[in-house]
Amino acid sequence: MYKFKFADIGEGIHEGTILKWLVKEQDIIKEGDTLVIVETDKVNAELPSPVNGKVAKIHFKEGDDIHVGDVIIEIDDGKETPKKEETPKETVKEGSAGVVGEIDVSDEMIQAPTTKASTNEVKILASPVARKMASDLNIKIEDIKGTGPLGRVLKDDVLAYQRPSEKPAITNDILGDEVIKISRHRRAISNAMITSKQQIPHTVLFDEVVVNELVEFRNKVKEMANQEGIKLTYMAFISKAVIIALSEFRVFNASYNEPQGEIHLYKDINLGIAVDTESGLVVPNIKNAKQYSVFGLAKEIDVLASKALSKTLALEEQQQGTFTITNFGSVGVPYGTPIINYPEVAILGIGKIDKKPIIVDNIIEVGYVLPLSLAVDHRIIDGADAGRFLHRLKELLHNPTLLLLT
Amino acid sequence: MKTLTLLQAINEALDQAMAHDDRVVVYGEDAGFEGGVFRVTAGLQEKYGKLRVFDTPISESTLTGSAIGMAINGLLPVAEIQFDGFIFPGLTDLVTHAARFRNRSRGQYGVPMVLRVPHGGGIRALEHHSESIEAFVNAVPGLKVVTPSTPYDAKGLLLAAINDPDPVVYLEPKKIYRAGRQEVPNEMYEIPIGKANVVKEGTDMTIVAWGSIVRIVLKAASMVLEEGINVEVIDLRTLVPYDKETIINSVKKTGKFMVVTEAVKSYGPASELITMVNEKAFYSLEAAPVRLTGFDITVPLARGEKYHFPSEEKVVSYIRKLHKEKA
Repeated sequence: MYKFKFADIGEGIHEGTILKWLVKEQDIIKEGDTLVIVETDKVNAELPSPVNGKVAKIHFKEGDDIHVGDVIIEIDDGKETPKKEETPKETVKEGSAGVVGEIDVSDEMIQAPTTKASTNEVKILASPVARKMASDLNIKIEDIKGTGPLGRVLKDDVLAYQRPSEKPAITNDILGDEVIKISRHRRAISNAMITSKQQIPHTVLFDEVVVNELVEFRNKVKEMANQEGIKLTYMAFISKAVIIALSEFRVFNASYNEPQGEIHLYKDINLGIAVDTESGLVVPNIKNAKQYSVFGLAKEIDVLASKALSKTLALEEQQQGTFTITNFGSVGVPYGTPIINYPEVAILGIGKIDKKPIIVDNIIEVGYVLPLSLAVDHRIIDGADAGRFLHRLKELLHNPTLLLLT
Repeated sequence: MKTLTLLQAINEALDQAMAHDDRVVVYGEDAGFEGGVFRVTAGLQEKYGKLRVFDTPISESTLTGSAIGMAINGLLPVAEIQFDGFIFPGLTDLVTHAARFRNRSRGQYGVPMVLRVPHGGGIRALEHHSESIEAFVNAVPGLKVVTPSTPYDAKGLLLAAINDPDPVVYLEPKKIYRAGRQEVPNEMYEIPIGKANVVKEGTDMTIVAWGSIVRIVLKAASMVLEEGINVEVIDLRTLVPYDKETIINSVKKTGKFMVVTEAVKSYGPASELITMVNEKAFYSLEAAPVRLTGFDITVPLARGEKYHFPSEEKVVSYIRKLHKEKA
């Protein structure tokens, strides 16, 4: 049995109408005889029989609509109908299906036009070269303030934004712009500073203390210390004063666990000393500093500073500090706003001891003055507490004999 | 070495090509007996006879259609469209057959014809006599399009076009047919199709032009040089297939790009060049590329045309403006 299907007759035609049957059931027909005339959008097509045989069944009446693939007539050609219809092999055809080609047919709904709310988001204005330059320097163009027309970011703005991250080498040569990759150490400092400044609301107090007696005393004993191989610096005395004050004001020798709402007061004072080195700041600390006399502190400070400068500090010597002293007096600066060495809660900045006019018994005299800058974590230490701590420090430094009593 | 005008250089190229190769035929409206309305083909009919140099009816479709037939059958036709604005009836055969024959024969056969077209404006002529047709022919795959800006290039490009195995449209900058002379070698030589010419090196911006506009841009470039603006000028020479590499290398060097053309602005030839630069040299751009073109209007008649075509003054002011742009 031959099942005659309405085939794709080309021209992009997918359906048609039976116009006229030229055969009826039981007719004997030959291959090539016209079976039916089908009307399509484009043509009236006569469809010939592909086989010899007898018309067994006609499936559509004249006037019926038919679609490509419909069996429209069955012809008994003496052969058995294959059980399974063979799946037609897909063939790749070169060339088009006819003069109109193959038009896509689908019932896909095409969305009605809608009016979109316009957004006023403003993109950063920058020329392609400026963008490329920023991208090459790993700078987000959004971070740069443009100085061009309409705030456009210019190449110059990108260059101005880019700061040398390492201590720049001071040379007399005027060189071109440079991009310097920061060291691991600088990265660590950078991260520590960010953490501290982001976590801790700093407040800073400034004061100065007349240290005539301290200067006199140090000059007196310096030689003696030298003979014992000790470099007796003011730092040793100041450290001692800080240790005494910290023992009395324990909240300054602590750390603060903000999420837990807990302040950890440390038993030991591990006194950090900030040391300026070629590759940047390092802060070794003197473990259990309470045990040392002024001479002992001088010795410890000297050892740690030498190690810091020769980059031979052990990791543990830089960990578990509880309070830090930073000395910007060594570079001639009186005051600063030091950044707390997180997770500590306070830091003391000491300036340069200098001769200054002081008032003694209503008379202006020349005295030695030590400037102090104390930064504290204001979450747990109030300004008044800081003031009292600073006052105690002044007292101790003003009367150095007090430093020797403990 | 003798000096020739651009028109004489074309005439010499045709003359030498005909002497060198019997297959070359030259024809067009008034191209035979009269030697062309501009006298480009003057003397050729007397020299080579009416069978090789002849007049045609006023029918541009016949002109292009017959050229295809001759080319397919072994001749090397060089047909002349009398004026740019007359080409439109001839485009049918040019676009639908000449340009496609290579593809239609799956690469086997070409149509080795040349269509010469006196081209462009600035000559205070009538309607249809001053047009820029680049966009019409440039956009047809299968056509090559060349245009000289000097007598030397005119001869070399025409000989290259005649020897090319595919159809070439040869646009002749009619405004400068007789504007100036140049030393032109006696022997036959070719300027390679597809290569642009850096006519002036510079560092501050790149300007691309072709045909009669090149010398306007060169004059403007020398004017701004005194102000310290150093412009690189590229004569495109071949519009299709054009020399991307030369343009890109130049823009990467200068960071700024301008196209000067008398064709229309919208959908005109400048658009393609600028788009290509945006695609290939975007991150070298220090400013938005600039088009200095004719307006989007029908070419004005004599009185209005000076406002329409790029002038030296306009080019200078555009250069100054682009130079001021900070990246």
